[in-house]
Parts: sequence; structure tokens; C-alpha cells
Amino acid sequence: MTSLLDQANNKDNREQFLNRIAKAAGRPRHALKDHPFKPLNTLPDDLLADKSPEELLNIAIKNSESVNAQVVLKPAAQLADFLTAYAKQENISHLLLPNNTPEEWEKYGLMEWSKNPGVENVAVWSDKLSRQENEENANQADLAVGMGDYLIAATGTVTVINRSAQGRGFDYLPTRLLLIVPKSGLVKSTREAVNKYNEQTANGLSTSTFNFISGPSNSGDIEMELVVGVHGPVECTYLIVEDR
Amino acid sequence: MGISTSDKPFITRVKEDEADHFMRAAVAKAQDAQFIKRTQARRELGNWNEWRDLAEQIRQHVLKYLPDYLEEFADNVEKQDGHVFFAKDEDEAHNFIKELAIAKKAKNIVKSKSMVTTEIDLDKTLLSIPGANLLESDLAEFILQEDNWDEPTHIVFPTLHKNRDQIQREFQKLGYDGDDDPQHEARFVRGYLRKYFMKADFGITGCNFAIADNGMINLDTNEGNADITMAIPKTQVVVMGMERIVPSMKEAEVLDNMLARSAVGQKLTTYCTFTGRKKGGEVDGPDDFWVVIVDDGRSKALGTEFEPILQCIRCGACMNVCPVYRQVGGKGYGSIYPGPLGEVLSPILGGYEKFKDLPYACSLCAACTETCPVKIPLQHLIREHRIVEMDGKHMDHSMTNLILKMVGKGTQSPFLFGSAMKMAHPASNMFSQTEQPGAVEGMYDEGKIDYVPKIVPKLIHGWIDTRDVPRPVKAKENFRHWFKDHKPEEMAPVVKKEGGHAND
Amino acid sequence: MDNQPRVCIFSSCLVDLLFPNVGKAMVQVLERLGCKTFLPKKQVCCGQPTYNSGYSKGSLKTFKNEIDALLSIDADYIVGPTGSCVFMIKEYAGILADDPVYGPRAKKLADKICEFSQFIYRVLGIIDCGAELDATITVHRSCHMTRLLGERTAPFVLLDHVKGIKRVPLHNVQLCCGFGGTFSAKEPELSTAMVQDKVKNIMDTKADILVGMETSCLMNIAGYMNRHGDHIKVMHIAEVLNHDVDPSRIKYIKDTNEPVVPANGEGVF
Repeated sequence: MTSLLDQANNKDNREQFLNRIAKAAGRPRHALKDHPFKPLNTLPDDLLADKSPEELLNIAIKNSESVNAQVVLKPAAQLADFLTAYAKQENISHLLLPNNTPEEWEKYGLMEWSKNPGVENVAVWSDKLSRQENEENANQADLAVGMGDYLIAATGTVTVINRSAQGRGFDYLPTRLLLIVPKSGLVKSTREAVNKYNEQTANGLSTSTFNFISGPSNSGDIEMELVVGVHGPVECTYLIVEDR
Repeated sequence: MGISTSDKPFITRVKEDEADHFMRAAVAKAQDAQFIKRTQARRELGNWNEWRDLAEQIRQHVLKYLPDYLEEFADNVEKQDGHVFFAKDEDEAHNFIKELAIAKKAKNIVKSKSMVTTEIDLDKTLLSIPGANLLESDLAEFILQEDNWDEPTHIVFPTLHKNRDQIQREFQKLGYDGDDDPQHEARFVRGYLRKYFMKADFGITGCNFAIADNGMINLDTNEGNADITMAIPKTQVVVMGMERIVPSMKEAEVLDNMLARSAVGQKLTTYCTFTGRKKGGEVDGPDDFWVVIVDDGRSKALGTEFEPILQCIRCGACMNVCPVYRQVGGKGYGSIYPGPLGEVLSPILGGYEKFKDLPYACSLCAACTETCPVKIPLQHLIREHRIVEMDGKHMDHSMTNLILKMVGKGTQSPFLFGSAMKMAHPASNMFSQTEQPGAVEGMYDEGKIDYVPKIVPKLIHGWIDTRDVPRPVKAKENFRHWFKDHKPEEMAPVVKKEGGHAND
Repeated sequence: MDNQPRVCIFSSCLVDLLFPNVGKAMVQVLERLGCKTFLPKKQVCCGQPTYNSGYSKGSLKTFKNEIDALLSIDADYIVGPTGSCVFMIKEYAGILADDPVYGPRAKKLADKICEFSQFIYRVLGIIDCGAELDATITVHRSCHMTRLLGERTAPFVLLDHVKGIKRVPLHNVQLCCGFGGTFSAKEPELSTAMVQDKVKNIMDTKADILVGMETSCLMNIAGYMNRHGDHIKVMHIAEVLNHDVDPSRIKYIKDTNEPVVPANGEGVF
């Protein structure tokens, strides 16, 4: 008996399947090139298009809070003090940081802080450690402070990508997740964020994951009662950098 | 077993559910809560019906060019060193994944919630691998697994039929010593599953939308379990129904917004993730990425009047508004796809013989059609199934069939109907009561029919067992008789002045 | 007057067999509002009992009879006291699309037919029928009328202009009463459970009168209430709009400051 596994990425397996469903549908294959998708309206692009930047920020804050994210606005010069105080206030003993370049930290005036954040155990997510070490560090962490790209007003979302300095486990495994996002990353909608990532991809960005994160993990599975904090972080903070 | 969850006859399941007061109260409460949340979320988005038009267009377009989009998607997955297997049925799909798990020497398999993996009976297949462990990671699916693989009763809230006390008792078997507070129960699961997650080597997820132009998978969850399932295990298998594809992230994004608003009244699910095989330099994520694209009967709907059911994005709104689902809950349907979606999909995937009753478990109230974010004409398709069953397959040989055929004859002939109008009053004499005044005013002036012998067919006594029927009027007092002799009502002065016809 | 609208009455089988008062009230209201009415003798039934049960072929003759009967009068409009049956008649055009003779006739019929309250409000442009009813009412809206015909506001506007009426909202008004045509007979357990919930919500309003736009739903709800001794009065909207009428109070929408409310109200979610 031949293994079914040989059928994966196998031309016959694919062609037989696609021919069979084309026949079932009674439609020829390869007609798409002459009929590309053209949306019948522009609603996704129009969403919140009439709002001023100030209004958008207010909408973003309101929507973020409605998904139980904590929102903090600070200028870059105050980030370090805020983070130190926050870690203290939350009794953080294990902090996880991304392996940012000095330029990336310095953009937010956090180079010094990242070296000495005032927490007993500090780990850095990095491709210099093994996969398992990184995952263990993330699992131990009671706070991860990571970098977000965009803050989406319509949904109260911060987006992140998977990169060598800040992997998937970084965003999902720690007890608390704090994402630093520049105010310049404020966008109207998920559509606008997708457009921006598409542009970046066209310009050479390579990542396996775009994550749209809206607040802490939660569930309504038990009697539809909202429970905050299930598998992912139980608290989620957006730190919006006002002057970046 | 596939999509079927019960071998009992439909009527038995209905009666069991009627007796389950907790379940009925839970479903009613859930429906009412979701009604408010869903309506608010949609209202706040604005232009809801135009959003629906767009979503419908996206889904119909994709179905029309399905083979082309699947081809594009598969090319893009393969380009990134992923693997794609096309499975024509349930057996091919689960056997493939079992072989893969064996080849990868999988020890700790972790799954995130997915209807299609339930449909292809994946859990049972994987559990037959010696030495392999399997845990469902979605809170609700985990609860079902721990209750000896109980069947889901809702596609978004699989444990709608269970209460916190039942869940507390189940968890106690796993060492839980807390109270019945859902928050505490959920935290217990977080800790319990985290240990397992950390050693998981084989992850299985479903797929909300596959992105044709970049080969990514789009997943929407609130708990974060799917994302952890895609982060830690080195091998990841994505199982997707073949219709769950979109041209690009732009269309996925539209549907993600509509799915969250429709399913749970959120703007977006907490985690809306576009993901694929780990790329160079990244530390975690799957080294090995497999996509299993499943037909399993879906192609039977392609090119037929039932094709629109493949537009479905599994939001569950149709069951959240369904007055029948409200009464029977998910179990009554005997299919993993309950509610209006299930009434249409189950006979297609599982056959008419097994699911012939489902299209009749519907009052055709069209609440489902009205709420569907991708505009599937659900109540219309339910009626189309009835037409297939009666006109196409002649599946009813009961008295009901005979009576309805007689009704067909009676309603096509003015002569027969004329006789009925004459005869209905005297014919109902033996069953009618005129003496006692009724409790309800304005309905029973001619008396009521409140009893028929059990020997008459169910189609008649089923009604009269619980409800009175007004007695037909005497021929001389009926509407037509009155109309023939009536003196036209005097036109109102204002109408006269205006000339009667407002639109002229 | 020559420009009186000619209205063909689609009576519906339930009115013919059980509810003459609804038919009478409808005709009297329409005549008072200036319509000339006609009642074609050969009409029988819209065909829902069989068609909705899956007997498509067996319903075709019923459809054709109804088309012939309702088109036998040279009328401007065809008006019926039931949104559900009116919608079924509108569906003929799609079902008979391939029929060279009846397809076009069905289309003509679909263009002319209206539900009673919709006709008064949207075609005649009347907002107040001059009726008076000193009572607290609650309204059961019809699923087919609101969702399939798409008319969810006209009856409410008309009822709210009846002098003396106090309307109490019905909790979970969107839920079906459990009638569903042959559904109520084929699945009596489900149907009974549904009507039970509906009756509870109605009785909780403490209204004196339950008003509906469909005799079928009313028959179902009242049937359960009567069996269980729930005391209430039941009226079809035509009976309400025909109650204690003072013709001098009749008003056109255009003579008031009120806007025409769209059929789907504030939108459908």
C-alpha cells in the first residue's frame, strides 16, 4: 500500500480533486484570470474615513478599553519611568523582552531601561537561544514588553508580526503582555492595517505571522459568562507613545 | 460517526430535549444575550446590509472560481515549503493525518477547536495511535473531551448544554478543588493545559479562511489556544473545508469583522491571526506545515440550488436566532451542525435518509436568513430540501403524505373548495363545543373544536392536542356570502375630496 | 368617482373558512378609504400548505388557479389580509419563471399584490384610518410579513394612530409563534413549546387585546390560550382599523408632519 503522505504536494492528487469539483460545479477551470474579484462597494476603505486624528485616537482608546485592554499614553521620555513603575506595581519577577536592536530601543528612549529594567529576572527572546529556552522563558514570564506596529481604531486592536526578536510564544505565553505602539501607527481599520502590511511585504518584509491582538485572552464557553484570561495573557496593556 | 451525533429517531430527541429544562433555559438566555450584543455590534458598524452584500459577493465569487483559488493557495503554500493534501472524504482526511502523526512520531497532540475536524472524526482516529496523547485546547472542547467526548451542541458555544456545576464536577476528576465560578474553572484549565502545551509536538487547527494569494491561514479565536497550538508544536496540520478560502487578506479582513460581530457581538475576535510555516530567522512556529483540504460531500452542493450553503462562515448567528433551536438545543438535531445551517448542510453531507427530518424542524420564520452575514437564503434552502424529499425522492409514505396530497387537490379546485366552505361547519359538528364561552374573545363565536379521536392522523390531532381551533362558519355567514350582498361602505369625506387615489 | 382605485380582494382560505369578520373589516376599511372592491369567486388558497411541505409539483395547479382567479378582475391592486400568503403569491413569478403562459401572468400578479396595512400606508398614503379603540394592546408581528415581504413598520404606524390605543411592546417580538403552516401539525411538540413561550410573553404584557396581522398566527396563539384559560381578546389589524371609525379623522400622511417610515424601519440586524 502506498503511503497517503506521498499524495501531499502531488500533482495527481491535486488535479483529480480540482477537476472533480469543477465538474461537479459544471464550471470550467482557469476562468478566474478574466474575472478577478472586484468589490461592489468601498465600505472597508470608508470606515472611519471622516474622522480627524484626535477623534480616531479617542475611538481607539474607547474600543481598546471595551475589550479589556489597558491603555496608557506617554511621551517617549516618560516610558522608562512608567515601565519601571508598572513592573513594580504588578510585582513582576520575570520579565521578557524582545531582542531589539539598540536603534529600535532608542527610538523610544528605552535603551538604558532595557538593560536595567529593575526586575529580578530578565530574559530576552532571541534567535541566539534555542527554541525551547525561548518558550520556557516566555512561559515563566509574568510580563512581556514587546513592540506593536499598528493601533486599529475601529476594533481596539494592536498588531504585531513574528520576527526573530519577538516570536509567537512571546505574545501568547506570558501572564501579562504590554505592547508599545507609536501614535504614528494609529490606523482607522483592519483594512488599513492589512494595506500597510501588504505594502511592507511588497517592499521586502518577510514574516510568517500577522497577529491582530485585541485585549487579553478570554472565553464565554462556560454559560456564556465572560472570563478574562484563558490560554493567552490574562492582562494586556497598550502603551501608546504620543510623540513617535 | 461523521456529522451524526445520535442514532435515536428525531421525535425521541425532541422529547428528551423538551424535558431538559436547564438546557432550554440556558439556550434561551444565550439567545437573548446574543441578540443584544449582536445587534449593537452590527448597528455600531453601520451600513450592515451593505456589508452583507459585500460579504455575500466575496463568498459567491470564491465559490464560482473555487478550483482556481484552491490551486493558487496550494501553489503558495508549497512555495513556502508547506505541504497540501486534497482529501475527497472523511476517511482520506483522517487517515492522512494519522499517518502523518505516526511518521512524525507524535506523542503529545494538541488541537484547537474546529468543526471540520469534528466532522471527519479526527479525535477518535488519532486516539487509536498507540502511545499518542491528545488534548483539545479550546475551553469548551476540553470540557467535552473530559466528559467522555460528549458531542458539541453549538458551533460557536459547544458546551451550551452544560452548566458550571457539571463542569466543576468534571474538573474535580482532574484535581480541581475550586468552586463553580467560571473564572476559577477557566484559570484551572489554563494551568492544566499550559503544562501540556509546553510539551506538545503536533498541533492541529482548523481554518477560518485560507488566503489564496499568500498561502496563509487566517484564524479567529478569543482564548489564544489556536495561536499557542501554532507556536509550540514543530509540526502543524491545518484542516480546512475546501470552501473556506478568500482571494486575499483584504477579503479575509472583511469576513473576520463580520464573523466576530455575528458570532459573539465583538468587533473582532481577540486573536485574529494570519499565519503559516515558520520563516528564516524566526524562533518558533511550525517547521513542518501541512494543510489538508477536505471535500467530504461539499461538492454535492456545488452547481446546485444548495450552493449558497457553502457561503457559510460558521458564525452560528442562525442558531442564535432560531426559535426551534431555542426549544431543542443543539442535541435535538442529531448532527454536529445544528440549527438552520445544520438543517441545510446535514442532509447534503450526511444524506437524506439519515437527516430527512431536519428540514421539517423549521417553521420557515426566516429569522436565520435575516441574520445571516453572508446572506444565505436559509429558510428557502430548507424548503428546497423538502421539495427534494417529497417530489424528488418520495420519502413520506405516511397519512400526512396522503392528507397533504388531498389538500393539494382541494386547493386547486374552486369547486371542491366551494363544497368545503359549505360542508366545513356541519362536518365539524361532532367535535365542536358551542356551549362554554371561551377564555379568548373574538375567535370562537361559532364554537371551538378541542377534541378529535386519537385515531385521526397526527397531522390533525397534533394540533388539537394542545390548541383549540375555531369552528368553521356556516355557509350563509361566511365572508363570500356577506360580500355578495353587502352595501358598499360610504367613502370618507377627506378621501372624496382628494379623489381617492393618493398616488395619482 | 372614476378615479377610485379598483381593488381585488385576495381573501385567503382561512378568512373564507373561519374568519369572516376579518374579511368584512378589511373590505369596509378599504371602501371607506375610497377603494372599489371586487371579490373573485374562483380564488381558493395561495398554496403554502402543500408547497411549504415540499409538494412543489402538487402545488402548481393551486398556483395557477389562484393566478387566474385574482387576474380575472381588471383591478389596479390586489390586497389581502395576510403578509405570509401575499408573499407566497409574489413567489409564483420565480417558481413559474420558465412557464411561457403563467410566468408573465405571475409577474403581473406579483406587481399588483399588497398586504392590507402596507397598501393603506404605502399605496393609499393614509396614516390615520379614523378608528378608535380604548384599550391596551400588544402586537404579534408576522415573520413572513416582516422578513420575507420586508414590511415591518406600516402596521405599527397605523395602529399607533388609532385613537385611544395604548400599545405595549411584546418581549421577544422577533420570535416565531410556532405556527409555521403544516409545521404546527407535523411537529406539534416543537410548535407547542414555541407557542407556550409566546403566550407567556403576551400575558406578561397584561394587554387587553392581542393584535396580529395574520389570522394563522392568531389562530395558533389564541388556540393555546383558549385551551389553557388565558383571558384576552384577539383582533386582526383590519378589525382594529375598522373599530368605532369617525371618518372625519381620516388623514393622509402628506397632511401631517410625519415622515414616511421605511418598510425596514431602522434597518435589519
